[in-house]
Amino acid sequence: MASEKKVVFLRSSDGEAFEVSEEVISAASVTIKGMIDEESPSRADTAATTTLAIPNVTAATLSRVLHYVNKHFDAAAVVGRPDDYIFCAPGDEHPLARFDDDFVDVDNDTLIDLVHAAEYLHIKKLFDLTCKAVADKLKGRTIDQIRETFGIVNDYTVEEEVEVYRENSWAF
Amino acid sequence: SSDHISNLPDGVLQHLLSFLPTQDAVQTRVLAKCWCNLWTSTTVLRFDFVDQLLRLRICEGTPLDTCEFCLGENDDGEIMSHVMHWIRIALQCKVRVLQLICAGNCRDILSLDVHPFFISQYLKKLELNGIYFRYALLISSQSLKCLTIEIGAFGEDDRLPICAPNLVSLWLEVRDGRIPLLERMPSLMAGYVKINSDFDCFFISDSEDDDDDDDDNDNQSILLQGLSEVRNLVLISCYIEMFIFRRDMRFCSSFNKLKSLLVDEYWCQPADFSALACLLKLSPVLEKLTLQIYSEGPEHKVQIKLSCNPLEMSTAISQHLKTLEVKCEVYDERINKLLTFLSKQLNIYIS
Repeated sequence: MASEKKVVFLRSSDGEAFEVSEEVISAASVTIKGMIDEESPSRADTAATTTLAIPNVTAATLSRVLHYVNKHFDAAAVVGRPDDYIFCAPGDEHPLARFDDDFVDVDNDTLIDLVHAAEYLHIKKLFDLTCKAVADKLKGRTIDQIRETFGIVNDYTVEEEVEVYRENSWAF
Repeated sequence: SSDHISNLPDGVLQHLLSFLPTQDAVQTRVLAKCWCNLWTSTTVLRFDFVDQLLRLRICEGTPLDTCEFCLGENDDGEIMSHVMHWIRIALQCKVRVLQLICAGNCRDILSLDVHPFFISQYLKKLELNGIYFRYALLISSQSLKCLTIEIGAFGEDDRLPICAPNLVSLWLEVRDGRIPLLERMPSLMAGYVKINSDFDCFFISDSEDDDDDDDDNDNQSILLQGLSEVRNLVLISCYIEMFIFRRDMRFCSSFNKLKSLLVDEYWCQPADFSALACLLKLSPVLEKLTLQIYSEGPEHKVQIKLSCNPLEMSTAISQHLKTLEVKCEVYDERINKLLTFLSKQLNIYIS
């Protein structure tokens, strides 16, 4: 008889709770696995489900993160191993590549929130994915374009800016 | 909108920059103050573009004219191995001018495989600065015209052979290790050799007994014979004990084309000036002799210029010698002795 799959609840900073398989989230997030391991002695023989507070992540972001985590874990479950090892013939697209592309095709603030969440929850693949997506938005853009896109305020004085340009002129 | 991205922790931003090609990453330093030092602490530098660039050139088959690599003081060994890889590609691209300059301490050229570096039939000019040739690699090029090794450290086991028979200009500064072995350079116009290494001093007794020292025993010159056809020559050694020059003179044919010679105080030892006398004897067409004594220059406090009258000179010296210059810090007993010796050789009186 297969034991019923354990679930945990994650409560976002704005108070919304999300249900997720303990097995899935433990495999995905180093941070949450640590929290569950800390809790486990006290709930070894109780049927009560655990609710974990995730104070740094909003509901909007957390639901996106869990969507990513479930998708990747499910794909891995199909072949019975972590999705890093999903068989992929040379030249074939990774089955989740399209999903990943769509996943990070969001506005800048949402993307930065995802970077924050991935870092806090310690989900390595999501962290790399989102950082790379931000990097792609910086690539090949002029300084003014980047400042405008991300709302970065130029706090250099004119002299300082001239000096920084001079020092790094080889890169332009 | 507000600046969310700059609020990311430094570590996260650095991770983010590590996905960017180096040039794009460096550009972000200009964005705002808090971005300025991020890139300098990133641990990943993506130089894929160099690989791609050079590979593209190989495919195109267009010869590369000039390729320069400059490394800063803090660049580590990993970068060096990349650079050596690129240099190999550049040589495949038939590069004509190759420059590798490393600031700071001499950097080890990692011997990544058995292929010796700097073998090329296309290279015209090779400039290496701040390099440690730990293993005796080979510099070999029929086409090479100009070779500069500034601040070069060499391995302690085997001598680096330099084979460049069409060389016109040679600048060789040995900072450490065994002095390289120069093969014949019949077209050489200008040679500058400065030995700052005392490594070879340790073998002085061996070479006198000529028994147990490996390559130095087969009665062949290491440096001077290779230079024997040069027009203008500078020979400097910081260590009086360094024996290569003196040893080489025993196996060296004369400098039949040498017009101008500059030597330092090394050649004033032993005190009877026998080394200097021997060198002058080997230079039958010398026109100008400069003695730079205990004064590194380029400015010298005391400069003595003498004109020579060929008719009055001894036969042990070039009959073509017109100018004699002594450059030093102070006119002292050592200079006086030197001039006395020279006046005897030159058969002239110095007032």
